[in-house]
Amino acid sequence: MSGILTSALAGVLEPVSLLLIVFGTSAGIVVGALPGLTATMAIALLVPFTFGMSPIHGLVLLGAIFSGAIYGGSFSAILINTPGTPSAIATTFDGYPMAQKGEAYRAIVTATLASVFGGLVGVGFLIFLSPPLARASLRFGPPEYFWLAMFGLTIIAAVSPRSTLKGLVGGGIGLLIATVGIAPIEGSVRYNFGTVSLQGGISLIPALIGFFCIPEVFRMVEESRQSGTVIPYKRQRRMVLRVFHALLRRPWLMIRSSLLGTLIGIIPGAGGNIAGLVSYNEAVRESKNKDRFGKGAMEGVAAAETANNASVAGALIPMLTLGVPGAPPAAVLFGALLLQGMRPGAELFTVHARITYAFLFSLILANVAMLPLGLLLGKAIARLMHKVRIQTMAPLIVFLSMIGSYSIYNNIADIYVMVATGLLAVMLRKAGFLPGPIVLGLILSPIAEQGLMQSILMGRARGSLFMVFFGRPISLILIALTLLSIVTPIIVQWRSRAETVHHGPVHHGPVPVVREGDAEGDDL
Amino acid sequence: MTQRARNLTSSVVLMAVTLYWYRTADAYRPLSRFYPQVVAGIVFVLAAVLGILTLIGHGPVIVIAEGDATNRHVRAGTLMAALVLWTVLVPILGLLPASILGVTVMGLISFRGHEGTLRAILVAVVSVIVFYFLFERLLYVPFPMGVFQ
Repeated sequence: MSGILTSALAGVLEPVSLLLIVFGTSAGIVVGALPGLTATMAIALLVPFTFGMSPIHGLVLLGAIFSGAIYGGSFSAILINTPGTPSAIATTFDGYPMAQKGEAYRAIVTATLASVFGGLVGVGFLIFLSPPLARASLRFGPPEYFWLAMFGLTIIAAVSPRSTLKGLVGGGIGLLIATVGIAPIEGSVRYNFGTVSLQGGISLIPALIGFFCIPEVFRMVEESRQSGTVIPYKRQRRMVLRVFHALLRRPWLMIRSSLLGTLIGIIPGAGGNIAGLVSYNEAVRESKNKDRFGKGAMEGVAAAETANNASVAGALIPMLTLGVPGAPPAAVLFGALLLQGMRPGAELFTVHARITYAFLFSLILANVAMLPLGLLLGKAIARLMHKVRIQTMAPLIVFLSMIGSYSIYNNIADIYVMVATGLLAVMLRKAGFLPGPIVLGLILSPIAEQGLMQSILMGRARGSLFMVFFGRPISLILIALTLLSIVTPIIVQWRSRAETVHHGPVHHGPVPVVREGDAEGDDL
Repeated sequence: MTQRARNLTSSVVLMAVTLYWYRTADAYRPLSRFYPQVVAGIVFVLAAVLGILTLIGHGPVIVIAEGDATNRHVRAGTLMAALVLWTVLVPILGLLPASILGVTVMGLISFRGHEGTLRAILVAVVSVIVFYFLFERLLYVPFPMGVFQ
């Protein structure tokens, strides 16, 4: 094992890998800082570029972009009151008021240090939890995989409380789309509409690019919003040390936010946005001086940024071990792994252990690199936010989506798949169905179908379907979790309605500019 | 279109699609049709619930976007048409000419009314050419050439 770890470390410390980490983190920070460009979009567009790279280099680049983009969202949250990525929604609550009070640099340094801390704790959990979880996945048979997929789908309901029904329908749409192609049992060619190119099913990466990039392009063009005024700031000497000491004096805030972020990241469908909001709420609830929040409390920025960066690694835990992505960017990384011929699960930590550990180590370096890069690039990013009109990116993103989809298999049908899924996503979004649950359905459908059909065959052979589906301990745990994820949002909705009737809606601080669907667990 | 109308339309469309999905699966072998029919059945029920809840005034409400709705829909419609046209032209003209045309048209839709429209379109076209040759010459991707083959 130590030989594999040493070899993985050597792979990450290669000059090319280090260069890719620096480039990926910087590019991620810039993408994250520009409102309208999301981490998921950046990763989806870059996956085809990594096809020609070695698996280590490709994954290192994508991981660095993911980490950098979630942190980068804090810049626009603090400087223009607009979260660069939905993960930074909670950062606006206190980050922008701090900037208004002339403490923009202090807020940025706080966000940077908190992001680095949260990211490192998350990666720590990822490194130590993933191998045993992956080993545990060896105990999973077809019924367990079926229930795991069911749990993954119903959890959508729990994480989109304002649209439980639409979340479930969205997941169902994803399941339906995934039935196109050859059936895993008996091999009938399904729903190919007479075309040969659909016989193999819907290509995952072009579909992911379509679902995540095209709706964003439409949003950029339709909204046509001018960026807000960027609050100027000056670097101050010893600020990093001062903020570092201030955060050291709040160890419980940092630890709690990291744990919350990691745990929420693990939940399929919940991402950095929910992690940030929950962690912020906890920081307010635990504080003795609640009135400061919403008016520029440094703890608010620290709680939100620690949690949303911890959720990055959290989202990778179920993806790497069970093949169930915890967040949309992790779903795209799932596609990147498949593209490199690597299937999530125990195999990643045995057959592909060197590549997997190199990827995990690279996340540590990417998080460490955020500290100097974020503080050095800060001024340039502020200027960029001021100058770049996001609509100018729209045609180029469509072009990159096209060549990205095409170049995976040099197949023009993949461009059609990308455009068709993209337009479908645009129309569904207008009807209130967000791409996150649909993509989760698309990814979980093969797991669910294979698990269901193999379990039925097992049940027929053993003479008891009931015992196959309901007679195994892991299945029972997953069934309980599935039921819990269905019932919980109903109770939460019922309670929040009752509270609104009694107390009316509560609001603290200035209103951030939040885009449609941002608070719905839509995208990162 | 109001949220109520959106919910009702999506409910009806989804029910129709799932019915089609279910009926089409009848032609497949038993174990190949079981799963799509179960999923179609579940989505049909959920879509019906969405429709019923909307009719009785308890349908889910999701704020789509702020701003002038008519202007937004016009932009979205034009953009959809441009994207479809661009895609259709790729096998006919080849990726590069179709994309230069597509980027220009999409640029006109996106930047309309803003300062520096011409410059922005020029930057987009140059970027397209750079990325095209980057993929073709460095990554050896054989892009479709269309009539220029």
